[in-house]
Amino acid sequence: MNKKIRKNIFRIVLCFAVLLSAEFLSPEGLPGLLLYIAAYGIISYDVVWKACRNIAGGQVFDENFLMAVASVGAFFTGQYVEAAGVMLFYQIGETFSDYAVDRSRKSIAHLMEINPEYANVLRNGEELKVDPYEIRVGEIVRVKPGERIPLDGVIVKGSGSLDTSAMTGEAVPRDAAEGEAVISGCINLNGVLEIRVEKEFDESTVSKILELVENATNRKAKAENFISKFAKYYTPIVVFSAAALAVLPPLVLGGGWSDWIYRALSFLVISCPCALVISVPLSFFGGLGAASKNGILIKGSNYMEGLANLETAVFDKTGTLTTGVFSVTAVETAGMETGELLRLAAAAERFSNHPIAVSVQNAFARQQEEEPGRWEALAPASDQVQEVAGYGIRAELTDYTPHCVSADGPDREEARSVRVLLGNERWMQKERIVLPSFEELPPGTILYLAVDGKYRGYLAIGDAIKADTPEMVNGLKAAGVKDLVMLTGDKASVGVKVAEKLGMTEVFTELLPGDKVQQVEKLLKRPNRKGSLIFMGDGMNDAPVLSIADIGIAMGGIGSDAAIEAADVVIMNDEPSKLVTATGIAKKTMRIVKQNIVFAIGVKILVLLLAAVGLAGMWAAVFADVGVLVLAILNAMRALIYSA
Amino acid sequence: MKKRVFKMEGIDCAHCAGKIERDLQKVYGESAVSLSFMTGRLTIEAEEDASDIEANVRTIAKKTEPDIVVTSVR
Repeated sequence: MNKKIRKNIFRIVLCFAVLLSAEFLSPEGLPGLLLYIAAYGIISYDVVWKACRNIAGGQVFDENFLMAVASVGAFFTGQYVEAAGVMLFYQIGETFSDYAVDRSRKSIAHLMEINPEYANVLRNGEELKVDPYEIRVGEIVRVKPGERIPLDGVIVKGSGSLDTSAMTGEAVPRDAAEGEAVISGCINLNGVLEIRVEKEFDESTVSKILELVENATNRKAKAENFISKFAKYYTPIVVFSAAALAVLPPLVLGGGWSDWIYRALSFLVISCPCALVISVPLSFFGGLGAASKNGILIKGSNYMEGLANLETAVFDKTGTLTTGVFSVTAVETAGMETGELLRLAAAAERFSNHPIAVSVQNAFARQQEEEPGRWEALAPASDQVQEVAGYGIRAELTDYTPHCVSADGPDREEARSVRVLLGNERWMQKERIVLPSFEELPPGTILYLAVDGKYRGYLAIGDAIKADTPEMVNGLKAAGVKDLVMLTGDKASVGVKVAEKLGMTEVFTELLPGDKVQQVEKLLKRPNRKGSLIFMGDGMNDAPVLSIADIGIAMGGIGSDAAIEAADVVIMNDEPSKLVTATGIAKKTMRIVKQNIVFAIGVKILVLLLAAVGLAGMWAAVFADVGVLVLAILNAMRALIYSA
Repeated sequence: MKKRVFKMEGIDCAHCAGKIERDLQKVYGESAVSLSFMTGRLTIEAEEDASDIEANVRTIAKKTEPDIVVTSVR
């Protein structure tokens, strides 16, 4: 709570006390009047002063002026309590909205406290504490436990765990070792790291993100522009109707001026569109904050509208829906344990560093970790392994002790020599291996394995689907997204299968990078499309597509400058399900905005009408102004909180 | 077209923010100016000389809300 807010609360309490004593003691004549004047003065001096100052500056229709006229008018028509009361409630509303704005600003500022204040740079063997701005590419910075990595770079010495939560929303610390690239903004939890700086501060991730977040509220949503247009016309219209209401009826109908003036003054109290002017940007600000808290950076309030109104979601397959890395996705065995098959396959692939070979070796390494001590790696010599390009591998294993040759055989046998064949279908045919007939093979590359002339199983190697991709698909469908479209450069046979498995509604295969742009353009031109179209990619080579979609979403955006530039939304980790969170936050924010607009305008118009016919007095007008303001702000502050 | 960014501290009335934004939009065009009430960040895209823009911003801000402190960010 800042000083101004505390001071205002004190004034509110004091004014209230003076007003109460005036009501209850009700001293006759001058002392009573003086008490009312004191109460009014305490609460309204700054408003009246600002009103005078602004009139001198040539501005008439501001809220200070309106409140001053309304309350002074009420005072002179003898409504002392109303005069002070209107001002009192007006100040309560203002103070409350200051408090709300202050709180939201602080909560988001806290979220964005990723700015490193200093860096320990090593120069001539000495450690100096300097401003990160002063550090040049190639210098070495030292990051101690508890400190923030000041600039993007590569670890040249040391290792430790990094708290990346402020950057990625990921709660689990990440281990980083020598040779790994690290981004600024992460906190080093333990160990001392020495980092060779790769990017200057302006170009570092922290600066890019701060820039993006700071700018977000400047890209305004249609609802915000509507409100500023509305506010521009609403106030003058109400003020002129108030003037007409005060003057015309008594002239036409004759009789009591004071009643009509009182009604007109009520109009002035309702004339401030504060509830809208504050609560709408506050809601968007809260929504953007809730998104960043979840590791989703939305570049502008305008994209909230699009996300809330999502109809067509287009995905790039590789790296977005799938991990983009080859891995063993399925293993089928015939009379052999899965681990044994992997062990033999890994032995055959021992001398290859092709991505497929690496994936087989990784699968075996995982098996070893799962069952520690059980799977001993086979180590054939290089002259025992022969690779036939385009077909596969032949490996002669001497001294081979299988764990289990047949399903009911002994667990260990005598050591012997075996010949292992690993390769594609053509390789099996060439070597005269009889393959069983398969009903359906999984998508991806299939490697068959044979031992001593007999088929023993296969490995399917493909681009594994990310663990939370199905969650995203279900979430989007539940949220009413109509079209889920997958774009891929894969062959039709593979792409269609993956799309079906994922539950996509449409798939376009065998696309070259340039074709993706054309495909998205076609989707954009589809008739009957009412909602927005998003494109989600991993940011590599996707920049043109990201920029033509209504909303371009880049995943794992950290470190990829092109993606941060071209995208409208950046998902900081690589979980596609964050898209569901983003649309959830956007929908909630838009709902709050709409509720506030309808509620505030509705109540104001209603009370204006009632006041015009004399059914609503000054107190109802105060509710239409301050009550609505407080309720709208409370509602707006909900946007800051989001739990999936 | 250059983008200029200003920080406006002490902007605590949404109304005034709207007024300052409208006044600046009259000078530089509606789409070129954006003032965020929540962050106090003002962006202007204009060809005009940097110091002229800054002078303009200061005058308009002072007229509407004398307490605002304007600092040029970029």
